[in-house]
Amino acid sequence: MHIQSNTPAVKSEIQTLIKLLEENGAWLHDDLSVVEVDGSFSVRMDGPVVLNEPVVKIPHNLFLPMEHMGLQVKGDEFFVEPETDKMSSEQLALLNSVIKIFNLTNKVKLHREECVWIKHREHPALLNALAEARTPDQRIQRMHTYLNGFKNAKDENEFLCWTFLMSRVLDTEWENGEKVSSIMPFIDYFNHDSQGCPYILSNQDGAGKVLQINNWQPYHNLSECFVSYGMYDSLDTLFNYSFPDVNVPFVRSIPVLVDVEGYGTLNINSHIIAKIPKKIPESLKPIRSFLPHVQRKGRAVHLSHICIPVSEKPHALRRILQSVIRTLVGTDASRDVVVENVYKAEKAILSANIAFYTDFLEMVKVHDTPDHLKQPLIDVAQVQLNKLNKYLYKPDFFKAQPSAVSDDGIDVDEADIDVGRGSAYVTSE
Amino acid sequence: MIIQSNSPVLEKEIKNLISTLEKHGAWFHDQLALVDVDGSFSVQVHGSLNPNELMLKLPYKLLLPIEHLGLTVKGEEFHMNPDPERLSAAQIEVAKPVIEIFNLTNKVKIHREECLWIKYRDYPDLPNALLESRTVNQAVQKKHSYLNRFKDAMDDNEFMCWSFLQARVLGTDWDNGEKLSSIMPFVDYYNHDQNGCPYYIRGKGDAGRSMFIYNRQPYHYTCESFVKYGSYDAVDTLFNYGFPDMNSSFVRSVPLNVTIEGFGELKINAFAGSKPSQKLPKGLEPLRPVMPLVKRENDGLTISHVIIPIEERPHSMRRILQSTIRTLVGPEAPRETVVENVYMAEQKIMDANIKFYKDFISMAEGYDAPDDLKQPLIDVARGQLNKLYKYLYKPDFFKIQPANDSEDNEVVDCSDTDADSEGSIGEAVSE
Repeated sequence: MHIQSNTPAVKSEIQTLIKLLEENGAWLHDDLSVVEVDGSFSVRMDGPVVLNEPVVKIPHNLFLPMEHMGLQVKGDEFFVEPETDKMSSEQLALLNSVIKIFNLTNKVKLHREECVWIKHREHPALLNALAEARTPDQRIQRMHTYLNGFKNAKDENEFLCWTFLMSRVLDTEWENGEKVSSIMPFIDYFNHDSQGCPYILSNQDGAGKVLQINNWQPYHNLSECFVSYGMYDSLDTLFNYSFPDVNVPFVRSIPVLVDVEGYGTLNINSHIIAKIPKKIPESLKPIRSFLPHVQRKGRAVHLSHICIPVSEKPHALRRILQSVIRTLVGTDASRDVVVENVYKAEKAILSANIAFYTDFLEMVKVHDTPDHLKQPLIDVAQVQLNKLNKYLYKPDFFKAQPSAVSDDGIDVDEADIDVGRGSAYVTSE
Repeated sequence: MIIQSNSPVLEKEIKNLISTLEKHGAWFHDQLALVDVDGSFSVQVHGSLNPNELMLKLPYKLLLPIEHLGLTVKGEEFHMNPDPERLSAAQIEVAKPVIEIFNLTNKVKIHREECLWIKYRDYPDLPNALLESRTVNQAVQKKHSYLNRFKDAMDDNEFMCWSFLQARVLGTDWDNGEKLSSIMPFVDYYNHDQNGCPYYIRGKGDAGRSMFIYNRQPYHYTCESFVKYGSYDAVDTLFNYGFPDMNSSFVRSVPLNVTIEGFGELKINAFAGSKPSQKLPKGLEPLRPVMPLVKRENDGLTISHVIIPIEERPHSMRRILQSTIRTLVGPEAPRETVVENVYMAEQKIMDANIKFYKDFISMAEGYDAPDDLKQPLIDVARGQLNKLYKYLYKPDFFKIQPANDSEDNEVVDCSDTDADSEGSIGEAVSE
């Protein structure tokens, strides 16, 4: 394990953190490097590598639940008032080290400068306009409230703490059944890429629940290892993590209402995080990661979200629409009714999204907001538009597709759409 | 056809070029956009469009052979003195806006600032050291002479003109048997990406042939459309065009010799741009894009180049070594001899390449040159090294591969391995 930093104190504290982790059952690959440059971290594997081999294993009981750490900000520093009865001595020692490293790398100052919701507070109009691309769930609402200085907004330090934590915690279930959002010591230093390694949480013999990261290096020319924080498009990562992941091969649709004449409506939301349906028809398993949570209310089918694919799984949108529309029209309706409405819905979704980003770009051109705030939002909207323009229309899709395939209805939930707090997906091995 | 430029004069001249090309039979898609930013062009597609749509058609007879253009540099401008005996009136009409656009976008000045061989003339040791990763052909030799101020080096303006053109011409064959290097009007404005569109040439004869370019947008997030100048790694594009294509998914091996004990030697060269034209054995046909030219010489085989794959065709190097070594050891040698020597050769190639780039980085880091000259070359070497580290070793490859696959193939070809001696922007695909 190698540590690169120009600051001896940072290097020394990371050594302490690693020692604490290893003493308590964590394992880190010998060739792994953590690199700190001006407060930004990255994790690398230098030298000949075996792709997909494990590089880090951290026992779940070393995670640091945010609810119990009592994180606060004073000036430009974090400090904690942990609930000592709810955290083990190992967790407390780790927390102490993690917070020291945050402070040594000026995380408060950096977050204040980088968090989009803080940065745009003086000129909220553009971010407000772009936020209309998402359904305002609880999390977005809180950010929106702070951005606009509404009465019920959190105070500055409280908001800083909350957004800082929300961008780096994982939701997991503990042995006592509690669902808690926790900081993952060391794993926190991996950067996100849509082609990064998912968090692999599994029970390992004798070690209990362990979070494992494998070596995924999606860029040939780099030695950096990435994890995937979740299924996010460029706008999602901008809102959640303050950077747009431009390489994502899909666009999450804006909220759209699609009329399926004579049968009802598809109410397409744009929630960033949604439950994956429990029962998935065989034909839809290959596009599992694209599946929305679906709920029927009378003549309307509500979808948590719809992803518009760009190159990977290019027919996913069409296939999901096919299943959802079949669910809406029922099994007695002819296949032609389904096919015709899929094409209509596909067109309506694409047109609405293209119009949204085109209008946004037109509006920004004449908007009186400083360039350093405007340009990143212009760039992200342009990226979304460029991806949407590459959507693969396929007029003969249903002719080429056997009628029996993919015409299954999708799993419909009677419960409300349950949108979690910003957490990453967890896969189990 | 959309044109975006902040310069009205340039915009007017581009329109003139487009209308002249259209008048003589060229065709452009309505959604095609040419964008100029400070003299750098990119070709984009505006609005929704499926991949692989035809974007433009350029009659072959409108290509501009540089041998007959009489191009020279005076001060900061290009001048041409076209040969009316060898060029058609249409070619001369097209050449005028092409040259005018070069001048309006300050290409002489930009090339002087950006061309690697000009930029490093006061610190030639750095590119000289990196150049050892390639077998020097005639074109590279000329650049090397200029870089090192050798006696036979071209003068400044001559080199400026030659190196500028060399990075943007296509090797063309004409009805009269002439093989010439030609500028591709408008197509010249496309940038290179390894997943870009090859130059498709269809039809017969100078009058019947045309070049076709299709929509290839390998990056989701931009609307830029790319062509592929050829199969090049990051060092190849750096030496040929002045920029490293860091996204290239392979590394061309450095030159080295590998002794196959008791049978002879594999002399591995590092030529860029060589590829076999003959029919390949069935087992090797899928590997055509990475196949080298092989010829028997003295007691061994000379190989034009070896491609170390990173992700695409991850076993291609092993399979090519397998065929080559079988060719060298003959059909009677047992399979174990081939397998054992493939693993040995694979390891030697990887070790030699990793060592080369490691040594280069350590030399460059300690070299007394300005950072803005050192760093780009260190970055290229590090990129190569990071790719090499991702090479997929597969110790059980031959256990799971049927014994007769890829091995009964004679790969010797008598073609000249110095195929790209004059260099060009790359490969046309004739259909």
